[in-house]
Amino acid sequence: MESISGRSISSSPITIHESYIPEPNDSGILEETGRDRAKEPLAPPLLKRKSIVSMSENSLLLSDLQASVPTTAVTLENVDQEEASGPEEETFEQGIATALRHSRLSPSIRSTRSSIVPTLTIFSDEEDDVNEGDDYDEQEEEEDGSSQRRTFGRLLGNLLSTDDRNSLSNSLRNSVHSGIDENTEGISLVQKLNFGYEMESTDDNEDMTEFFSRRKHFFILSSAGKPIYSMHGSDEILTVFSGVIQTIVSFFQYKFDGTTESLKSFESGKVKFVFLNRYPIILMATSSYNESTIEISQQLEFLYNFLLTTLSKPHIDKMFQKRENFDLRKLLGRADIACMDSICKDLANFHNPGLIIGGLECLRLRKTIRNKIEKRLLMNKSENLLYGLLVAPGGRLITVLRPRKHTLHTSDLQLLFSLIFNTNTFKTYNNTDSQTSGSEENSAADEEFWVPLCLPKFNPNGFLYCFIQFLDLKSKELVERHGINPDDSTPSGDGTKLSLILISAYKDSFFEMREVGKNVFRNLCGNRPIYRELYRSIIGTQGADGSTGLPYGAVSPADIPAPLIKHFIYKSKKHTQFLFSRIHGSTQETMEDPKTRSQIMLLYSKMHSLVNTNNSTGGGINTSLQKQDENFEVTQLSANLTSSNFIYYINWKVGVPREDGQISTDTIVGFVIVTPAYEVYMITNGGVVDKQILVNSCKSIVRWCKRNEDRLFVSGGAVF
Amino acid sequence: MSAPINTEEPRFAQFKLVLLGESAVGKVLHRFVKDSFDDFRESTIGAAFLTQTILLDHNTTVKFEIWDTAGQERYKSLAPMYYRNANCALVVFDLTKQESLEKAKSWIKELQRQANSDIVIALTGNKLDLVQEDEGAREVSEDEARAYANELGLLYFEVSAKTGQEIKESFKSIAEKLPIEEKVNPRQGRRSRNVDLSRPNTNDQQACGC
Repeated sequence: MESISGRSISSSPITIHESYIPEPNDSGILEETGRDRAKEPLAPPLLKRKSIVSMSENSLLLSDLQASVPTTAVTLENVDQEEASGPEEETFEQGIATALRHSRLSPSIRSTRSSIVPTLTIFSDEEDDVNEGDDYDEQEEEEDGSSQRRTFGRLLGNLLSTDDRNSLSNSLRNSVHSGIDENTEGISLVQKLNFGYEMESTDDNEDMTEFFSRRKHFFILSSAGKPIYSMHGSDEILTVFSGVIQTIVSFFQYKFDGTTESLKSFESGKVKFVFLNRYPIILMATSSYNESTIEISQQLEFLYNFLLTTLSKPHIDKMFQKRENFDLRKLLGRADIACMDSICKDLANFHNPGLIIGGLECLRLRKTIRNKIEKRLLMNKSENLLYGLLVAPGGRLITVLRPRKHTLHTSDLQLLFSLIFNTNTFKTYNNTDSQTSGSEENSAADEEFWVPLCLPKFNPNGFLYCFIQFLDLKSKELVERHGINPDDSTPSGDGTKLSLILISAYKDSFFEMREVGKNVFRNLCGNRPIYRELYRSIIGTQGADGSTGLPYGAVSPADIPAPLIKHFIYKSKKHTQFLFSRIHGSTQETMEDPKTRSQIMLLYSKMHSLVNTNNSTGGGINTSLQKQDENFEVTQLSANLTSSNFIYYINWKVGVPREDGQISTDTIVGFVIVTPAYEVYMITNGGVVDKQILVNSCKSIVRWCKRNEDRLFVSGGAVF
Repeated sequence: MSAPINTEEPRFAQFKLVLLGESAVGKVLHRFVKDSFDDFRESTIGAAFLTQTILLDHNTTVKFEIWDTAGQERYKSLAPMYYRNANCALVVFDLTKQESLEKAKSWIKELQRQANSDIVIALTGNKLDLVQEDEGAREVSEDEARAYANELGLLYFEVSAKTGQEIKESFKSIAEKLPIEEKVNPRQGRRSRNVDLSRPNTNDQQACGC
């Protein structure tokens, strides 16, 4: 993953902008990502570090994109992968893990294999399906066979009592045992999720001070240094910096012995600069959020893939072959720029859990209903239809129609969904139901879209054509037909729209897809159980008295029940799908509030980056370190069984503004469990934490999610 | 080709319309179809398909099947698919941008070369509201554009998608220019007939316009 420049920047003749990189000091500017970490006193010997890092990279969803796109230097990671595929004796150390050595060995290898192909299992070949399924069944048996679970329980308990023995920082001990200052007790998580996070937005401001004050930047330019896109700043600013970035990248690219390598990242003060060189495109991001290089690279990769999605690789290549200094902006329309803006905003504001956790979010539905929907999709399939996707608002997958032989990649779907759900091209504006004036064609005002897209993972060289249509579940006609009383508290507008995406390889099959779409929607709406279940899951449960409750689709920790847990994400690695809970006790508005979402996702992003940069050695409880972040103070504890089974316990001290204008310090506790089969991320309120309850809650969540797997995740889909 | 006409009965005709030109054309369409204007909405990605029915006179209904194409360069190769069997085309340009008229002209050339020879083309200048507010904002003079349209036998309108001014009227004028007598069929026989018309592959009409 890390392709590194071997040269030191101290000899670099480049000065970027005086106020941008304050006082470049000789030692710390260029981070040689891997090696630098090795210098840290806490870091384990090199060999072990390598294998752990690569293991965690393998569990990353997007990271393998880099390996699959042939570019300059990938040697380091190849080495890593080879090592990782062997049994990792090195990481099995004494301590708690010793007894588990045998049972642990195989799952860790499996996790490597299964995550190297991070295709949604449901989309992969049938044969693979069977194999993977078997593997996981075994694993589940192992886990259900209680040895692992008991171990985790014990480990959790141990972890939380570590601070009795170790002399940890006071703040941690306080938070685990004696609680925090009394006057902050009773503050809900929602209130705490207000630690002064400033939402990022895009702009084309000419003001340089403004430009430099941004905490996150994305730049796209051509290898010749021509500007393509920037998240902030005017065209003039972009032009200047494109030249600078291109110079930096090419300075490190060519070594004296004729070989090439890629500059990956460097740091200056709190700002991290990360590069992605994909000839003929260069991407760069800066972040002062303390994100890891891997995470930022993934974000750049996503942005790059979006470019491929709209233009396709051969098209881009052709343009630059003709003329090295081609201006790619000529090919990008306003809608594309708006799309990139919204992707950048999403990335900078941590709005897309799928991109952080890696996977797709799914709509919770009863299994029988999902099967019925799948049957109806299959029934209406036409000759030229390649894939069909039924998606709930917010990009939550309902089910998929797919051919047996072909696969759809998660990252392709993420691109597709972010195009559809995050941009305003497909959004409804003032829904005027008074429109159609009694004409027969009730759908007269409904648009259908025909969008040529390149899905880079499916085939970076060609376009597929997506028929996209929306169905408002809350439309007067449907609601009346199925006897539902929608009230005002339920979501409205785009929050009630089902989308159907039909993908064909033929550009003139629009009318064929249109016919399919019409029939599918007619079938779905005509069936009362299906309609009512979709309504219940997306819009709200319908009480006997006609009142509408919260949508069934969003699980609250209280449903499980999991006391102390305020919010959690459960990711099933087998499905590459995750469950994103609602905040305990929150209303619909809170969950939709972008700022709350940003802040909670910022915490998850920090947890996830711990998982992926898990650099502690296997075996036992270790690492408690304190980091000073801009927003908060972090204390973390981790326990590894092996490199693929570990637990993190993170304690954030956050400053929460209070009514009297004072800022009180408060704590939020994050908790991560990673095993080869699943990842659970949990957030609790801090304060007095009863270890046993917490442990039991974690177990409950895992058990509940496993038991409800069929409702929570799409497995299989409709295969033809 | 046409069914017998009984003028006493309600008449129904269906036409294919394609919107081309500057990428803001979608807004014109939304004004027409939904009678709303969305400032935030960017141009279309790919193409959008929608239908709108207007009542031409007391017993004549005209249904438009509309392709709203993104005016982007890279979708140009797809454009023929949208205008192939179109009965009418609305080529939109921005009254405040001279170069948008040039683009519109090139679309018109392409249509006259490639599309049905009897296609009704309407050259439409958008952003009339801006021009009315401040005559200085106008870059394309009405005389010039109108003269060009007359020369090529096109309809010419100036509209505002934002305020909705002249939009309905222009669509009505287009409908009036269309060969309704030819395309009309009695309402009951409508279904089968319509399917035929909407198929892009039925090259039953003039295949080549040269």
